[in-house]
Amino acid sequence: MKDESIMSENQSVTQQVLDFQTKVATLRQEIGRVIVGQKEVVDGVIACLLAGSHALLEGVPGLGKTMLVRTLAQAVRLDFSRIQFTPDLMPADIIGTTVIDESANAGKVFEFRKGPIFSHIVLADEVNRATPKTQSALLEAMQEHRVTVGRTTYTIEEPYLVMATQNPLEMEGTYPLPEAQLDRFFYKLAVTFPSREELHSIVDRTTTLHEAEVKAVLEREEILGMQKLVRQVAVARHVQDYAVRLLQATHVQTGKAFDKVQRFVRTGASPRGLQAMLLGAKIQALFDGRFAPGIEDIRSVAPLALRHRILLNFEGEAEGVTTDAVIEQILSQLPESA
Amino acid sequence: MRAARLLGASKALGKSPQQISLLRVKARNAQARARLNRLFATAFRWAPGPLGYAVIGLTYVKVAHRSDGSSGWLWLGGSLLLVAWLGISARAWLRRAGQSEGGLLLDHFHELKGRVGNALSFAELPLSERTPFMEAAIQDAVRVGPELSPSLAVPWLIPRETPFVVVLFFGLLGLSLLEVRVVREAERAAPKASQALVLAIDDVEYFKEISARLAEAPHAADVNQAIQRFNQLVLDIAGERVTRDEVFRRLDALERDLADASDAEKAAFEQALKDRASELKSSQQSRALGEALERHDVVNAEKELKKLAEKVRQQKQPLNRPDLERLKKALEAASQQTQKRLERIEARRQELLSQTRRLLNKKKDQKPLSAQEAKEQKETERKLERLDREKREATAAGKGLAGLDKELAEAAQKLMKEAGLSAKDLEQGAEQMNRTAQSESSQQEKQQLKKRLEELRELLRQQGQAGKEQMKRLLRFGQRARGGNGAPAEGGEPGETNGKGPKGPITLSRGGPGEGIDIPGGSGKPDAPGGQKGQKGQKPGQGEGSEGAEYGTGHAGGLRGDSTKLDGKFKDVSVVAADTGEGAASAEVIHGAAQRGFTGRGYSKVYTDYRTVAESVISKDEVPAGYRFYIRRYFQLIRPRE
Repeated sequence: MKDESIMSENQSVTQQVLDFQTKVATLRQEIGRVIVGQKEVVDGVIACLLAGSHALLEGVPGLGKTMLVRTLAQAVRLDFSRIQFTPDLMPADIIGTTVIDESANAGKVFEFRKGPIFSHIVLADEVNRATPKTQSALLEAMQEHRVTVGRTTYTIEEPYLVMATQNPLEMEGTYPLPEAQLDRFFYKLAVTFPSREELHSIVDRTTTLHEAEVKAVLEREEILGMQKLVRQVAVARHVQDYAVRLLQATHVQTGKAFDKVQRFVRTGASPRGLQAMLLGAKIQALFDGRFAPGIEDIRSVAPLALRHRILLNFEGEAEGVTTDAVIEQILSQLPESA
Repeated sequence: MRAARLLGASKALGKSPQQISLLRVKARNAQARARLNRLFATAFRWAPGPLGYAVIGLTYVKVAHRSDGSSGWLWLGGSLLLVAWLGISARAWLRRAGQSEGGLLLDHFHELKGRVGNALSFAELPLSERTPFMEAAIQDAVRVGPELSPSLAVPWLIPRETPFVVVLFFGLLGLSLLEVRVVREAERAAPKASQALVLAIDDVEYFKEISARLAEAPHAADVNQAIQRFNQLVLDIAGERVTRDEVFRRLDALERDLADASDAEKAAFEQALKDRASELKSSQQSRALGEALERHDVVNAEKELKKLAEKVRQQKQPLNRPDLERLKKALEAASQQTQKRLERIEARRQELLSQTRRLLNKKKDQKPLSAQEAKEQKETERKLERLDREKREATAAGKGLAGLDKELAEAAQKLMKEAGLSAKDLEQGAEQMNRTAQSESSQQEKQQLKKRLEELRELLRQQGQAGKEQMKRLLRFGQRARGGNGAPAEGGEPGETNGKGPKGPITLSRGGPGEGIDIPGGSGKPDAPGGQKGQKGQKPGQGEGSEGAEYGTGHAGGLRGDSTKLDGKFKDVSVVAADTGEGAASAEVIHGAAQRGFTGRGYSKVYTDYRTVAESVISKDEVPAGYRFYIRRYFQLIRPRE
């Protein structure tokens, strides 16, 4: 009797995982109509969507960062808004503002007009061009999925996903994101230059009459269901322990600091990094049709989840060391079981 | 494909308890293999340490022949290294890389992305705590369980250091085997260190010097052979390769070989020469020859015989007839001496035999012998034995002089008829005399060698009786002689000797101004080189021999040779070093040598002067044989050290 119940539950789980995989595959396929290549970035963006968190896309201009987010928004039936960050952009331009509404019946009333931040998917384009004051306007929304204006707090409807892009080359007239805000991004995705074949495909698609049409393949409820399924995935103790040790290894203060950590790291990743690694690993396992993530999943998502959470010291900056190199050393030397 | 796999996982439900056990077994198997690999890797990584140490240590032990307790530190170091190596290896074996290690290894090899590890981890939880996802994960892993292979997932790894360790191990093995062979040979060849005879370096050098001197001069073949054996014996003693017993055995053998000419035979030979000399002296012409023979001076006798032949041969001043007659009689009588002597012995022997027979016959007749007769019988038997011995000795001596006798007889027969032929016979007699001289010389060399053997034997005997204390004293003396402080070892102060006869060593006594020499066994005070009576040491030797009333009248119990003749032949010797007005006086040099050791040019000069005089006295004066050894040894001990 008990076996039968377990069997039933198991079949249900299996079915859910299968559905999850199917939906993700459909979404990928739909995005793939517009975006050529960039599989890791696409999967990363989808992972952020399913984790209910945010993504920071970094890459030189022209690689399709904005296009990717816009395509994602089209592929899912969700509200989408785009904010072009500029130095003169004000927080009210993002959050919204209170206006006097004159109506014939009610007379003059103050009414809060929600800004673009109140969308399911928000594209914060070139987020580092805005002043820190404006950037900080995103903090509450990104973390708590709500916005407080005056004495009123407005809740943002789930799912909520902020996709920010930034250009790593242009430093003049930019304001690097504060650490607190960086920490709120689930993944930092590096958009790399396309390969030769991918460039051919890009040219074929964009210089002809052919225009790809993206259909919405996922409803809001489906996405919420998928987010819920992600959180149901169990993590074995030794896998979780590996993630914990990995996070600890990014800190100089811990007992056995690695060479590059010892020399170049000012501050290690926050516990949000650990959460991001575990959630990311769960999503990876589900992408692969598995019921639990393994250490390999942790290893694969660790750079995405930690690279923007590790802060280098002056020596690291001066020597041009990247946080990816630090993470790579930790991954190569940290024993899988201890 | 993925869907099919997932569905397969759900169908596998219900078999989980058995199949999760299979997973566990395979995971444990993989983990055990991983631990063994770690053990081997660690053991081989650290093995060169103790192995290298063992190779170096063993080489040291073998090369330095340190198989006794002095290699204890090496063993201690080796033991510590071995324990450390075992500890490190045990730690590698006991160190667990987590319970999930086996599952992870299987996951890696089969590219299962953590399925087995997760399943085993979830299976550890109670059923109530498991979520549907956990159950699904377990089933997913169970499905692939039978395909898992621990042996493929964790193959045996050959440590990188294996060739080096193998080379070291076999090197050590070979070294130990090689060493065993060397040791066995060494054990067969050399006695144990504790049994080997050890002499003081001064004594060894003394005998080395003697053997070098003996080897310098040409000798007869048999003497040469004996000298070589003596030299080899000295070298073996110096190299501490022979035991005390072995030395005595070889000394005995050497002495037996050298004992061809016994003292009695030598005496018989000398008596035979005297007999001939007395006859030859009866003639004026052969008197010089007779006198030379009487002195046992066969070399001069040969010369005189040649002169006599020349006299007989010369035509210008021929010998007159009466002279020739007397010479003929003298030569005839001389040539018949052996025969006459044998006849005398035989006559006396026959007389004694008849006397013996008479007593025996009386005994046969059952008549008891009186006490007087019994005594007489014993006396007769002793005389007979002595006569037999004399006969043998006379025969042997006669054989040695048979050639001479024959030539003398022929010369006598031809003397009156043919002077030339007679002279020729006399010359041939001279040649015979030369051969006899050579034989005599060989005998003298043998005697010389025998004396050295006796000295060596005496030294060994003294050492055996004095024991380790004497060795300590000699070592201390050697240190002081070389300028060391010669700190007194336990058992006595320098100069304190409690010698009992031959036991006591020669020591420098510093008790008085004369710095005399204590000669063990004698309580008499030796004469100082300057003619003054040397003061005794603080504690002179107390010999077993009787103490004389005056200087030089006492003797040791084991004294050898004739007693010192005190009939006015003493010769006071006075040695004064040449006073050039430069450097210290002799007395100062000697006193300085007592303080600083026997070094320096001044001491070397004074020593040479004194030794020259001593050698001269030994060779010319009648110094008792037993004392000569001590004098020589004394000078050997105080010789200048470079």
